Amino acid sequence: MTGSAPESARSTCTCAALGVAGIVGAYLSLALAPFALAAITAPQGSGVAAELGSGLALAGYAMLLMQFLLTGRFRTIGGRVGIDVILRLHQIAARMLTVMVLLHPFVYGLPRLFSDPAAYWSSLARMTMMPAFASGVAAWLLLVALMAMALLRPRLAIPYECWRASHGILAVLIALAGLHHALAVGGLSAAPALRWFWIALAALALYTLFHSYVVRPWLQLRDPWRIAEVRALGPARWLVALEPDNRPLAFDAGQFAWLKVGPHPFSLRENPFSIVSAPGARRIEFLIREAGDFTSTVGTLEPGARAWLDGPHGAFTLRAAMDAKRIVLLAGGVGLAPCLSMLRAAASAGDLRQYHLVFGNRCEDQIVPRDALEALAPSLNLKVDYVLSEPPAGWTGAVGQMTPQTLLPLLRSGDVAGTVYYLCGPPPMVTASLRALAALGVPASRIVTERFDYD
Amino acid sequence: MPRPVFQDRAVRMFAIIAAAIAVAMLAFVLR
Repeated sequence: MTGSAPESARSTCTCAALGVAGIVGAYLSLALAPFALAAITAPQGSGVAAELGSGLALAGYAMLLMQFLLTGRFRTIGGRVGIDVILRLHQIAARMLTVMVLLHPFVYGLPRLFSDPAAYWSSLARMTMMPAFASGVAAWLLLVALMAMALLRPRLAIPYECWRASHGILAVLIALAGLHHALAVGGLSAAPALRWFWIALAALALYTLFHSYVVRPWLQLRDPWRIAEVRALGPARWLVALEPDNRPLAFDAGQFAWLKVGPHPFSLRENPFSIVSAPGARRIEFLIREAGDFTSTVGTLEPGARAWLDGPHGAFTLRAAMDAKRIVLLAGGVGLAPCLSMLRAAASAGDLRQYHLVFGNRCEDQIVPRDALEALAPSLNLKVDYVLSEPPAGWTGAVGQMTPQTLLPLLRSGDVAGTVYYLCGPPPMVTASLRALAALGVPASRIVTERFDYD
Repeated sequence: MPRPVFQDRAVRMFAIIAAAIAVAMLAFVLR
């Protein structure tokens, strides 16, 4: 049985969001604008080393300011590509801009390092002691501290909200000190065009942070939510249901939202969770696994407690499978949540296309909510394969991790060409499943993934 | 665990960005 996506299954999101080309184009426009403005102001370069030092500083500082925009959770930026992809872009860009910014003071006098190393180092040391360079030195040192804290976060025993606050404060200090440095001693930035460009971009960057921490929570005050139900589904797995006081959340199946629990939405403690319920209902449900921090306290949440949502976010939706004849969902653990939301949406829309869910877990009692999955069988053309790495005696399903060895026999039966593959789960599962899809010859354009844990 | 590059959309996007910045930097330095 085949068909196309029914109209009612299609996206409810009408936001004007940028695609990959739009984001790359906008990013490059801002990152390269300082080069253009500097080249117009100073058409003749003043030596390769000096220009390379300036170039690293110009692009590095522009990228640093754009880091604020990438983490602003704006739907225009992350709506189509996926906010998890944009956050990953933030992490990758951070490495490159840090290298550029940290290197730039060493590059200006580089030729002298080879001809007269003592003079090179003493000149650098003299410069760091000059009052005019104090803001630049401060920004340089703070950037080292910020990156060290960001890269070591998994190993630092700091509560997430403390880390997040320190990350934001350090970023603001670096942006301001960097702005002062550019305006005070930047030769090329003395030109009015570049000067105003830096002021405008820094103002936009700082507003983004203000928007995230003040404006957005303030807007959330209009839409308070209540915890309606907290139910244990299995070992360390919970279903948390929320109901709105006012407006329900309009979302596409497969999307997620950041959840805060507490009397006000200005807390820094929030976590992203995929919505497991289908769109259209007032009540929304999340499938949450205890994994540390907030999630380990989920079982103690009281029905009636105040909650706040920032969402919906994410591009892990059926929008990517509009023309697919078959949809394969590879889910690991609570990575089932967005997949189940999609299956529920497809069932209620009368979607007749082929759905194949491969659901991996360690043991059988982690297959939750199994009753909800089985309830979908009569209303969908759905095949479900359960995969267990530690199966009980008498288990007749697939056995193993979600690796190519396990997955290939399950996935070979269908037509690859007309299929879109969705992957959601822990990073090792997603990585291993991708190897299986690569072995099947599935092109990247027909694979949609979502994961939140990076480096 | 190594992450396959082909699927990482962010890596693909940043590869384009980094390449364009490198070219622009070269043009700026050699102007």
